Amino acid sequence: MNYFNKTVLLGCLLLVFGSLYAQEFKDGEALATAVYNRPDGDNSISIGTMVLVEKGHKPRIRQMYTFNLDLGNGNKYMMIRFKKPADISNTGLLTLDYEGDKETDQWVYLPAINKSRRISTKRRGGRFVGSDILYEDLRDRPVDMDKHRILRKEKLNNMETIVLESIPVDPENSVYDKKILWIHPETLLALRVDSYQNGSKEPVKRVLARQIEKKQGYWTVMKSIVRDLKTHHETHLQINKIKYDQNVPEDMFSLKYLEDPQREKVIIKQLSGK
Amino acid sequence: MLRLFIKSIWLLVLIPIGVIAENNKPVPYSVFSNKAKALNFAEQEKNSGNRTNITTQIQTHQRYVVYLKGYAQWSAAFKQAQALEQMGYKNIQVVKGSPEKRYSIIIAQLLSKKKAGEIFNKLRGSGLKNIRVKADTIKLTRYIVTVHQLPVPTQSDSITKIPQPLPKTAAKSSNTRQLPAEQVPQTVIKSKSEDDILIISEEEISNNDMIIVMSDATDVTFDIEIGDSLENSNVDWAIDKMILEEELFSRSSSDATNAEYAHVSSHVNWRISDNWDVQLAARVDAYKQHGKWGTDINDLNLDYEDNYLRYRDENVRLTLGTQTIRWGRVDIIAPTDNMVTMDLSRGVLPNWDDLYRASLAMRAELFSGKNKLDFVYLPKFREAELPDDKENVWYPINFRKGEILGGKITPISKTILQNARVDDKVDGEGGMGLRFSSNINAIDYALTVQRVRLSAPSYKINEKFRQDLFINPQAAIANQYSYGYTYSEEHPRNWIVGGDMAFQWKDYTLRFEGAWFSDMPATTKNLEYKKYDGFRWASGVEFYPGDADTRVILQLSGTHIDEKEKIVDRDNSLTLAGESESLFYNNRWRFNTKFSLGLDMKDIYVSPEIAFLGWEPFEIYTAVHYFDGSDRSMGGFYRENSMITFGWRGRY
Repeated sequence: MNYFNKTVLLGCLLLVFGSLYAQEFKDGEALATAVYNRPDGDNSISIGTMVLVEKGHKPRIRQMYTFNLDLGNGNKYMMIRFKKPADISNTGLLTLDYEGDKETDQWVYLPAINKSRRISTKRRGGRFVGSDILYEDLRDRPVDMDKHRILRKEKLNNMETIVLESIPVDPENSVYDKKILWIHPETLLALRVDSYQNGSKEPVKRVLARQIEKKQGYWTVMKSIVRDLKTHHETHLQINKIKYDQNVPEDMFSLKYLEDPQREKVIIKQLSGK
Repeated sequence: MLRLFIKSIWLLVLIPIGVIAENNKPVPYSVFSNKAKALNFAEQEKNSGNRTNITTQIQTHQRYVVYLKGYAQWSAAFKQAQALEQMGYKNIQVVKGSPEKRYSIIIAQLLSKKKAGEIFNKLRGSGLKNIRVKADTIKLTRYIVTVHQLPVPTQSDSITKIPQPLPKTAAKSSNTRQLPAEQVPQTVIKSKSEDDILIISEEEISNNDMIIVMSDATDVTFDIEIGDSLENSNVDWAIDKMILEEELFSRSSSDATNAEYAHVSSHVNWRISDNWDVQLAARVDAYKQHGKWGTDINDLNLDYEDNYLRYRDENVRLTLGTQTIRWGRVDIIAPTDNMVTMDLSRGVLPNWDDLYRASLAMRAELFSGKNKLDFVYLPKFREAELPDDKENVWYPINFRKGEILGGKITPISKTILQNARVDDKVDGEGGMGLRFSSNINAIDYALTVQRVRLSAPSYKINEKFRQDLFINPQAAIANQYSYGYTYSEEHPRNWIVGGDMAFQWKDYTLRFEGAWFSDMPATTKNLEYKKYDGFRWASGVEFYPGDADTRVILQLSGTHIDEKEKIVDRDNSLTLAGESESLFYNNRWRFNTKFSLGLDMKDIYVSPEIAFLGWEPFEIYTAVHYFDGSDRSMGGFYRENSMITFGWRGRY
């Protein structure tokens, strides 16, 4: 998964962060690789809240379960099940990333028609359920898709960070021109990410980690904010509960589960320790 | 890099014979994971005249356990373990593990995720399906034996616990504390091992979770509770849809001036156990049409939706009750989607996905990996839902004008239809269908065989009346009522064989579907009701122009009736239909357009809609529905129903 996404954006959806010992990095690629390879558990279950905040308007709330399974070698499965608001309740998104060049599979389940539909995994620029998260931010982005360099060391929120610049090797495969990341070396989390688009000199989007917790040995972004710096629209992300390394079967990441939300309730019980 | 660290650790853990610097001289040391071996090594060095010092260190590591899960019987697990040993795997263990309380076979415990993945792939390649890789955290005790080539001291060797990590290169991936700088040794590796399999005892991980809160984190929207209903409840209920709509007919020639429509549908689902659940669901529709000719219509309908008892286990799902079963792959009108009842009570005004009703069915879904076999039996046929009142503008026969949807208009047919009585009583069983679906190489596909009645109505003229029409038309028409019903509603039973597929090509999702029908209804030139072979097909594409927040669906579809004589119905039709949806102003507004255009005949339906979404979960909207076309087309038949609507809809 994209080290940037994995660090902050998807924190709400379930992203997990393992702790590694603070270390020196010889260059930007080494740092990006360390972030990308951060231990993040074999699987995880979480419930998260996404709040869309806009000045002068009532906040809009989305709540969802997220299930992750990492089989190694780039085989990563994820399923998101929306529970709120009512108009998207039980809508599901299943994403299967495979090793090598094999194309990602993705389906969306629409309860209104009780069917799942294969959808394009090439979509990058659209907003995910109206949030400030773009579809590209949900995708796995291997380290070698960007050029990385360390700019400086800087204190952020009284914490030492390494400032990393990442620029797409092929500008066609990203909606962003570049990203600047403030990496906290001890947790290998990005505490802040500024994204640039369309040749802008100023960042158009900023991601800020707000609360980080070590859960079952894995550093996890529990609260974060994604801020559109042009419109000042914000998406607040929060993990309400998360459990790593549970009994999440591989079978769960299938159309059988995607099309039957009742099936996952047995798995969800583990969040409550039942 | 992480892998390099782990590898370095291994080089130190298993066979490492190293040299550390002390007083600028290299000093040898060895690291053991086994206490007895460390003591034995120290004893040997002591006997060689060297002084040794042994320290211990506890390190935390990520471990990857490759195992086979899910053996109910120990004998089956043991047999599989023996087979694995014959394949060359060593140190295999059969364990009984909770929470599954089944037997598992532990094949390897590794510190390398990559190697775990390699073993996983190798096992999968040998045909095993129940392979799992579990990551956990372990604590390892290292015994570091430092050898000082000095005169042998008098004191005996001892094991001293020190809070020191391994040399720096090894400590990078551990959680141990850093050595003081002067104690950090240089490391020279003299030998290396390719073997990184660990068989060790596991220690419990202490729960030392920690929190970092950013200093300026004062955002008020955080700490939103998830609520018990989301997490713990076995009862789900919802108001699935509420609609209030005012409809203003825009053409002066329309049969109605305006209409009001209200709808509410709701369900409650009770999860009895992990295997069983039961659901009750219903809908209420209210419609008031203000006719121009003093023919106001008031309809109030209570109808069932999906009410069922359902059982599921790992590979089966059985459902008994009323169900809305949607088959097929394409988005708008799917040729293989025939197990469901169409809802034509409001024409095509609802969303494409809302044109269906539930019907009584027994359904068995069998799962095996990516494959699904779906069997449906419809013990009681439910025909398409039409308006109760035949004066309703959406009824497929316009008795005032003497027109029928899809039929050719002649002076005689007009007269007959204006005085027609329709027998719409339908009974009997619906039929059954089988659908196999799967996916391979990123292509979803399905094949289906159905023996089912079509829910959309066709109309058969009274045979005696038809014969008399050709003998003495004036007399037959004059005595039309004496024949009883002029028309009867028909739903011919068809054999249907079809298939569908979907895949991604570049930025597009492509969908294809086709089906052969054994008995498609048609009316011949001499008004005889007949059935012919036919074929329906559809191809669709979905994409996002500009890779932004607009979604477009286009669908080209066609119908061919293999008629043997001239018919009044359309024997071939070609239609381009679709929908586009754009979200803007931070997704607070939505602009949506759906359309259907005949390519072989003028047949137009276009419906743009703008909706305000800011008050979730409710919407306020206004839409235009524009119909136009030739006499035999849908657009032509509903031409006078062009309208502007204003409404409110929501879910709760």
